[in-house]
Amino acid sequence: MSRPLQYTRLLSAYTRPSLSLHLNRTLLSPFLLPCRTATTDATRSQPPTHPPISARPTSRNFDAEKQRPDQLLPDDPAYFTGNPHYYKYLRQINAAIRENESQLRQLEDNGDAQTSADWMNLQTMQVQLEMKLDPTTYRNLTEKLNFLVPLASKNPKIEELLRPFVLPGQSLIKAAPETLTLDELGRSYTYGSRKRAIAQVWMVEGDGQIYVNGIPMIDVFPEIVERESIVRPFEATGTLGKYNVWALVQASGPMSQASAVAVAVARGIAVHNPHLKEHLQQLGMTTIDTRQKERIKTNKIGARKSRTWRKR
Amino acid sequence: MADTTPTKQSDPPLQTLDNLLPTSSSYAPIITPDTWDPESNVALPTNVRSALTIRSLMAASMHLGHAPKHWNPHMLPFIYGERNGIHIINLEHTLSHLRRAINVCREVAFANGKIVFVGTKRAIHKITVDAADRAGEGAYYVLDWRGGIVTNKERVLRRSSGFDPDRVVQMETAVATAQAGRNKRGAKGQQGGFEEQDAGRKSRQPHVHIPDLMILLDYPNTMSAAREANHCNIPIIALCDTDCDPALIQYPIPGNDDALASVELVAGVLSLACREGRMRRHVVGEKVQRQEPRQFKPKDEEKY
Repeated sequence: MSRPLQYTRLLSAYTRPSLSLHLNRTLLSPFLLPCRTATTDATRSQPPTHPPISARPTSRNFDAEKQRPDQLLPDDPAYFTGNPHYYKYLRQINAAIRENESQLRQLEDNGDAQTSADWMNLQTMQVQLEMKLDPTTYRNLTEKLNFLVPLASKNPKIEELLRPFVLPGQSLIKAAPETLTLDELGRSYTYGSRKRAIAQVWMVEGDGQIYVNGIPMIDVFPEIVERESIVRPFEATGTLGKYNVWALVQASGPMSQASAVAVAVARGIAVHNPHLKEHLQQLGMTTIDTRQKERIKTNKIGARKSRTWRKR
Repeated sequence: MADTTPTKQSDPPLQTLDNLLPTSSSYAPIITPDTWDPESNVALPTNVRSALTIRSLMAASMHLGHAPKHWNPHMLPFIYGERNGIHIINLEHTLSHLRRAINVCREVAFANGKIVFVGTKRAIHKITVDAADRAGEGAYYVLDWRGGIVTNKERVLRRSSGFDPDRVVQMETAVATAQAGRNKRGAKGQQGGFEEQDAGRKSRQPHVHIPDLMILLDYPNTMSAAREANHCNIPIIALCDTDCDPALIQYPIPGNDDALASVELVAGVLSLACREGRMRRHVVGEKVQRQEPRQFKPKDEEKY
């Protein structure tokens, strides 16, 4: 059968005359040590000398400085992976998971497992920890780290293990977002926006007056649609006529301004009535609509509209 | 018999295939743990060699090959026959090839070789890492073979060596152009000096290691590793199933590469062989330290 060139080269190494001589000698006298052999044929090259076993440098009796670089062994068993730090961390994490397996199973049964923490993103982790990561590997790594987060508060060793994966100075567990409260006069201050319009709204318990930029709402927004959008959060929560609204809004047109005020009003209702917050979130009233006007592109009249098509 | 003929300390052995081949130490008689003398220059007794029988190989399902339609005709010498829709591998060949591989591992470890266990299938990751740990010093693992680990080692292993050749050149070029911009005289000097800079960078490149022996535990998935090793004259031990081409492998072990028991057996015995070689190396080193080194003179050749 045909063999590639590399294999034939290696095969020829086995059949080189010097090597066969060496093998014959050892077969004849097992106590004979390998050494320089004399050849009668002048054309044959000298066989390589095999120094006796006892004289070979070993890891204990050599001076590191006198050795060639390729004789000093790398310490890390993951040297040839090209990603030694990743494997070092991975093995530590796996060991920690295996050690605390019973506790983790308990957490899983209770439903307290896998708290996520503020891990560094992929790029930062690659640079800071000198690892090579791809999205799948990063995801698997963070999933494993998430397993260990609930144990970090009780176990300082695990906390030390997880520390490198969070930006320095940042806490391991994500801080809960600040809850907004009423000020000393019983007012809530909230913010909303739509397109370029920004609305600041102060709400206080009252009888249902709504002022926008110092003017009653009816005079600012002549259209019913605009006024309806502002009043809708009150209707949805049954708080119509219970709060006075003072709104400051700038930029954009009337409809956008009304929508901005509406979002801020919904958030204000949530501050006054925290139990209604989830309901308003589900309705989508507290979410800012992030859509902006699409930019005009080159060779187009608008964002999408093309120039008149000419047949020739 | 004691070894009393060391060579000159200034001549280290060549890191070639010749020096990694088995020497007379491989023909040592089998001895039991009770009669083994640590001072002697013979192999440590292991339970592995006596435990390696055709029965134990069959228990690890090493004889189970793939369906005949998927075979590689180069594996014909190792196939016993066909049964129940699969090829059966001849375990007599498996045993002899495995023993040969054990010898190679042991001698490479004894000669201070770097042995790399390569296992890329997710199911055998733990087997591969455990084998490298068991073998101890001089054994390494690779769980994801990236092209260029051997042939482009300066770049691919830059995180292992701690030196990035490309980044250094970029930094030096940036510095050079900045200096050239500021000082015209500097620009003239830099024109001729770029080669010097390049030479300086090359001399700063620390040595990056290549394996002395590679053990492929899932050869069909690591063909690129086999080709790289062949390119750089690194011997390979690989577990070859009936659908594999053993042409690229220097020490194939015909056997089942799908069953975990089979892979674990092969990885286990080879890792023990590596450890054995390393331990013998330490033992022999200790013995040498106790003796007075004698200069090797040409006229002593007449004794041999």
